[in-house]
Amino acid sequence: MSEKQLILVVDDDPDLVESVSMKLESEDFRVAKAYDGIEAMDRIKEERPALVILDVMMPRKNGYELCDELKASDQYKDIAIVLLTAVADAVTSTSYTHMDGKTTMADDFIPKPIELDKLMEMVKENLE
Amino acid sequence: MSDTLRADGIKLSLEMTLIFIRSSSSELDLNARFLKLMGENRINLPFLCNAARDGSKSGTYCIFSEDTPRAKRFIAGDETLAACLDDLPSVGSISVFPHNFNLAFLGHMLRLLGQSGAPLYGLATSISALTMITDFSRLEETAAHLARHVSLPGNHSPFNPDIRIKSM
Repeated sequence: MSEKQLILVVDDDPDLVESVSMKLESEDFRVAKAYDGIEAMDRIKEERPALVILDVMMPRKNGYELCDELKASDQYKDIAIVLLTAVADAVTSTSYTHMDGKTTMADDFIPKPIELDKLMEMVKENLE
Repeated sequence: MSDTLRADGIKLSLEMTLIFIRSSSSELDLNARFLKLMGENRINLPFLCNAARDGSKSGTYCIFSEDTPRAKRFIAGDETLAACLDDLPSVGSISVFPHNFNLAFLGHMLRLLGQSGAPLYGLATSISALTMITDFSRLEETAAHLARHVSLPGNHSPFNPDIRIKSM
């Protein structure tokens, strides 16, 4: 029997974390949870996830900062990252340019409010 | 039972005003009128709890203190609604999550709130969070009391919000 893959869900909205986690568990994934970028990094160090579902706007360390940190790390750059963004209209690809000119590279992104079925499809595609 | 239950986090709200509305079945649904008024004027409701019993309906709502003067102006324009509405200024919410639909967790939190001496004006659960409304001036000390009796992860997210999303 293959081991269930671990997905890390990161958002400062506990209801969003819980609803996405329940859906992932119903699809036979294991789930770790974090509520900002600092906690997320702690969870990643504890156990490397196969994929991170990552909100953008969070306290302490936001999603862009964590995404940049992971993609710049030899140890973690292969972890797939799906960004959750409430400003999807401003995001035309997985390369997102900030107001300060920096660019974040994620593997995929999905606009809020989230369609859970679409998110599950995206998770599975990015794990293939 | 152990005195410590596990939680992932605690979140505190900004200062808010609590609004109670009671309407009997013979009246128009004043709760619906209030919600329509707030929605039309883009006033956020960070807390909402409705109840119906024996034909009467009651609603408990919170609006941010900074929105209160504007909300009161709109409410004053509806005399029937204004007459059935009570408000309590300077309240705040403490949300503990996740509750995992666990009645023992609910009982534990209420016991801790009682021990802290903070009043309970409202209580609601969402998918993840158990939210209690109390005096804003007691929010920090009450959260500190809960945190002493709840096992939180190391390096957990801060209790106070530093990001607020507002519908424009």
